Amino acid sequence: MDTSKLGKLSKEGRDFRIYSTPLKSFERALIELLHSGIERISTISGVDTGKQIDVLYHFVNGNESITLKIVLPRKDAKIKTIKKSFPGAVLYERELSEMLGVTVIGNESPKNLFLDKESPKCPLRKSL
Amino acid sequence: MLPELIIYPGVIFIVFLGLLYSGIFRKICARMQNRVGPPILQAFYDAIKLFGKENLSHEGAGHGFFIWPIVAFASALVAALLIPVAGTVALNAGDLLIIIYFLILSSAALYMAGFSSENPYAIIGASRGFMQMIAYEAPFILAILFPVFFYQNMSLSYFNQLQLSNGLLALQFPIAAFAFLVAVLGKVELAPFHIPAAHQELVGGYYIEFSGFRLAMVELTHAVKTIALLAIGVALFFGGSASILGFIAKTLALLFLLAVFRATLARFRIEQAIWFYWTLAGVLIINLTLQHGGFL
Amino acid sequence: MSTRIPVGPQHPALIEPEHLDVKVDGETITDVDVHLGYIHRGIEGLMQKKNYQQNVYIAERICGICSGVHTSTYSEGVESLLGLEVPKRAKYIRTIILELERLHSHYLWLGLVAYEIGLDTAFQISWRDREIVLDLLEKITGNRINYAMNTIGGVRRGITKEMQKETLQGIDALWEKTKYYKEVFLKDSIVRARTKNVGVLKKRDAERYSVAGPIVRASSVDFDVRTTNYAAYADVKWKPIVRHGCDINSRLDVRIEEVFEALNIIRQCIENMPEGPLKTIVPPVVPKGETIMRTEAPRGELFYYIRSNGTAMPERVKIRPPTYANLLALKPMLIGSELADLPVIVASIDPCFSCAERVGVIKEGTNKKEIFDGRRLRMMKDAP
Repeated sequence: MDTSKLGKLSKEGRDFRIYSTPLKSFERALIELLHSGIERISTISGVDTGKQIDVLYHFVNGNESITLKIVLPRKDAKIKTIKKSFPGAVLYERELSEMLGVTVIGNESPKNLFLDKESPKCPLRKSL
Repeated sequence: MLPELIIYPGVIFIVFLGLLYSGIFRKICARMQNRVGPPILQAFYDAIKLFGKENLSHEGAGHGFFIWPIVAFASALVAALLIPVAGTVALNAGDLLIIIYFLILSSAALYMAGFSSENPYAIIGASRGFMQMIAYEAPFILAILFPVFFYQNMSLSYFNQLQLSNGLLALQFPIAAFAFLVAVLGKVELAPFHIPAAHQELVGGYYIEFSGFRLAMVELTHAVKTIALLAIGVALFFGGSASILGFIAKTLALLFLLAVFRATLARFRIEQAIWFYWTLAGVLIINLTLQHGGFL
Repeated sequence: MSTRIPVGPQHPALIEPEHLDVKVDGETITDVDVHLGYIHRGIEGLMQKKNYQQNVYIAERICGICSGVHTSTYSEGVESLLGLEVPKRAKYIRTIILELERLHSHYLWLGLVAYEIGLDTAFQISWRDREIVLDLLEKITGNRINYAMNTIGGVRRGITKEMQKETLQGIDALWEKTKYYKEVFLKDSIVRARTKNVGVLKKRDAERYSVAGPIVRASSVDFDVRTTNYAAYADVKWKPIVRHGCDINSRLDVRIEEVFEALNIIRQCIENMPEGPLKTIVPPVVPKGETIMRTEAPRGELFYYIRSNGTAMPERVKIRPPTYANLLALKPMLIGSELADLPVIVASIDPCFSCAERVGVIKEGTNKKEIFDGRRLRMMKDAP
């Protein structure tokens, strides 16, 4: 696997590595992962840091967890769906848009997965 | 005639024994499963409670929803009255054929009641029930035909007397006796054939919408049908009965056997059950032609 | 003719609150839609409002059955943020608790499968034997569930010599009983008829949908997170159980073999238990950073992502419990199968919805909490 295509290594632990991937090379990184036989996605986490929204895609490669970190603006956060190449991500993408208000292009659903219709929108966003 | 019809061995005796046996049955199963189980009189409490309940029905319930449970109970009761208990018959009016007919009517009426209740679970349960009827009636009737063909007689009292003097017919027709017991499992919807009412899939199946009086009718139908089938078993295959004590001992032994099946077997899927019963029917037909071909 | 059958949230086959909208044609399932959200508690949001120590208690209460694995995953995550090395004795004790928990979860599951196929007696008996495990857990930790055993930096209680002896006795008893279950669940002809080639999840689907745990191992994918050697798994001899049938029968096989494997692991841990302290000294401040911790819960891969911003409270704790990952497997397994098999197929993924639904719903910025399903847990008190 050509790890340089995944982005800059930002953190390495006992059994995980986190790469900071620029948004424009995200698709290239996904293709690189698929080419090296990685199909398993653990989950997608979103973090609202107050300045930006970090979206982390956690993949599994054997005993190691490989994470791609994408930074999105807080206003009008948008990202393309990866459900075509990683079908396991369908629910996680819906959760991401439900909890953090990130629009996942190609995986919009009129129905909520977890929250009630009357719940406040995007509960994990920080209100500044 | 009248006391025989109403008290012993008539309606009151049959209903009392049916409810008592359903309590005993639950207790045996519970003990086999390491449970304490309900009190033996639980079925009586339930029946009395249900008769006292409000008469609820839902929108979309047809007339059949009210009529069929009563038909089911009545026909099960008539079938039970036609069967000799300890040598005496409450309603000396018919033979095996009419008993078979009333038992079928009783099951069919229950499933018709399910269809009339317009609940998706009930409809699926009822259609499963009819499918299962098609399956188990064949071995049931074939099993009964064995002694009928052999002795050229249709009267249960005759077989009762015959066995008292000649010994168990089950020894003479072991395959038929076994097939009879297996068909009884299907008729009273016990494991592995509790498919129409499958609790985990259909939440009670055809009787999901019943409550109060109508649910009591369903429970009583089951209790009376169980007694009727056990009594047929005793009179036809398992030695007959001369005294009330002998009757109770023999039916209880059969009930225990059913409880063992109930506690040790998982539920078949409907197509597996049909396959099973029809294979059994095939074996019976071959057996009947081979062994008793001369009587056909 | 197509009938719509609502299954759940109140249905005897699903003790867990979910709603399956099932379309059937005769008895064959043609479509199924899963609805969640009945017991959403907002735990991820809550965790951002509590300090690291308090979050151990919250993690404990995510699930009643896998409470041990949640706390040990969370604690190990925070320990890796702190750069702490946990004493070896604590690691062994954690492993024992994790495996005891796997035992009682698997016994529970065996009982449920038996119940769903109408075999009530096996259900009663396996739950009776599960009591042996629960009694052991109660003796060791003081609680039958929610063991409160793990803490950041180690464990809170030791296992005395007397407890070790009793645990070994319990394990021997369970070994015999599990042999009997193996006979019942893998040899009984009706059980085989109801589980063989039922709920098939092909290897390709299992990989693509990122399914985890015993389900994926029954579909011949060798994926067991215990190989990442967290807790004391590097020190004991064990192997992942993989079966190739892809059906419920294989899942039964995998789980029963895992019970034997768990009994072995516990025995090894007790026999080789090192002496030493139970807990290290924990620095008061968690430095800025992020970490990922994955463990193998009884139902599959449990995933924690913890990010610290240097304050007393974590910036984000993302939890991905196994049922959430396994839900996607329901559709390929259910469509085309018989309605009669629906309960056992749903049960075969061992669904646990307290586990799947705990993502945050607490309104940020105000001190007032809004919990939307009306279920206020006692632990949800204001953050310090």
